[in-house]
Amino acid sequence: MRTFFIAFAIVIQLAAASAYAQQNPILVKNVAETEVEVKNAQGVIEKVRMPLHKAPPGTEVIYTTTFANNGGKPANNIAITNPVPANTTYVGGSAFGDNTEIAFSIDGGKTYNVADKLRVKTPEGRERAALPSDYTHIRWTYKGDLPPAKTGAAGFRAVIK
Amino acid sequence: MLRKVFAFCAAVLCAAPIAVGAAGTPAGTVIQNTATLTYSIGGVPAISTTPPASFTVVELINVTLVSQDAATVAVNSPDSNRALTFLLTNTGNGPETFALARNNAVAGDNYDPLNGSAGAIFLENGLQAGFQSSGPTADTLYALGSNDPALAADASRIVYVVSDTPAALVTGNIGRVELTASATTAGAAGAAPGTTLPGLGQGGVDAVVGGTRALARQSGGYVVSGVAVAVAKSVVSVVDVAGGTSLRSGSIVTYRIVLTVNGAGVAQSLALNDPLPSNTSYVANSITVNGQPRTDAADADQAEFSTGTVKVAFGDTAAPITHTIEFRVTVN
Repeated sequence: MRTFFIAFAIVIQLAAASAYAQQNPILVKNVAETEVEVKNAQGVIEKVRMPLHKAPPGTEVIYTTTFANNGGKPANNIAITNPVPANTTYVGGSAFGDNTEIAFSIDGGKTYNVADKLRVKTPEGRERAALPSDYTHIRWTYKGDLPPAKTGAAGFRAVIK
Repeated sequence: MLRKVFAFCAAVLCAAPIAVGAAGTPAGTVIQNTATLTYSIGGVPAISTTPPASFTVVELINVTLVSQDAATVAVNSPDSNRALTFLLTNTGNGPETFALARNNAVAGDNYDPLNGSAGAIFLENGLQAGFQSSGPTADTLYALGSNDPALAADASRIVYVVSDTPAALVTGNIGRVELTASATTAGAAGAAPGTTLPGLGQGGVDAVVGGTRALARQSGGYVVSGVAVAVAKSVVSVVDVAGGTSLRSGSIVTYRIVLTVNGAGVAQSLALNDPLPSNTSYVANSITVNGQPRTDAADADQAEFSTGTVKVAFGDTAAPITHTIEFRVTVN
């Protein structure tokens, strides 16, 4: 009975995935991970990324968005936007992405700029440089085309408040 | 205008702790993240969104105890039911209940305070600040396992450690008591930071022992303050009926009592009772305290004359201080 159910579930998932691929030749997925220190076979402590399902406040979360061109034509004008989730704070300097230009928003994703050009108005009416904790969204602009069968990745780190 | 300003400040102060949320994201919160990818193929724009990457915030168990006493608490020897004050705060991100215990045998002090005769530990009931052992605002006697304080994330409670002081201690002796607050979630208190307790957090999420190891210890101290009360009584003047100074029937005698509280600390319920000498009659309303006239009735002016006795009640009196009481009698 159980075997039947599992098989049934897989069939449905496959069907969903193939329909998805037809509509969107660019496959994109997003994972939340955390780094844990483990001792390897040589007795050396190394950092290993583990999928994150639950975590206490103070944990640093690594978000990674991966994308792949499963279609037959190159994709261009690729941009990824990702909000810094509620109840987390962006870790300064942590955004990463090969072959991308990275910009940040401090106004909920309405406008973006490079980190050192973002200014925040204080309640006293003055201006100060934006802090990583002011960031609400991150945008990666992919430079050039993504040919068929190629992949890319972009991400950032945030700490749970 | 001033009142308006005060009201505004009060509102801001009340709102601030809620907004700050020092304890962190509440346990059980699901944090989701969805990325969006825009692109175009052959000039046709398209958009893809990811399924949300989500995880649940678990309950972090943390607690602090902070002494609220500015200095060691002055006590007499013997003394009873003197309070040390602590602030217990749930610094975790979920509700938690804490068990309290006191240790009177702290190393490195001069004597061991005794559990208070009124009770060992009390919880502030919020009716009146400061410790009251009895009366309408009496604080709540703590009993382990029956009224362990349950605190929401970020919430605090004042805890009193109440002690008696043995007799015959030397002035300057220090007695310390340590209060321990332990989270009551099974397996939490004392466990290594990062220990996971599956399913024991708020709403069935995991609980994780925080950096405080889910327990807090804080000590407070008493100092035997050696308050000494000295009384000196003298005759200031005698005025006879002929205007002279001879002591005979009808002469008016003025007595002076100097009450001196020496040392450091508090003389509790300081009161003077001076029965009249035999063969004398009290001169009505003749009591003065520090030069100020007092009435004979038992009222708010701390002095009274009743049942042949001059009575002055000063209440709890901090040393050092001197009070001078005078009254007059007529020789029969």
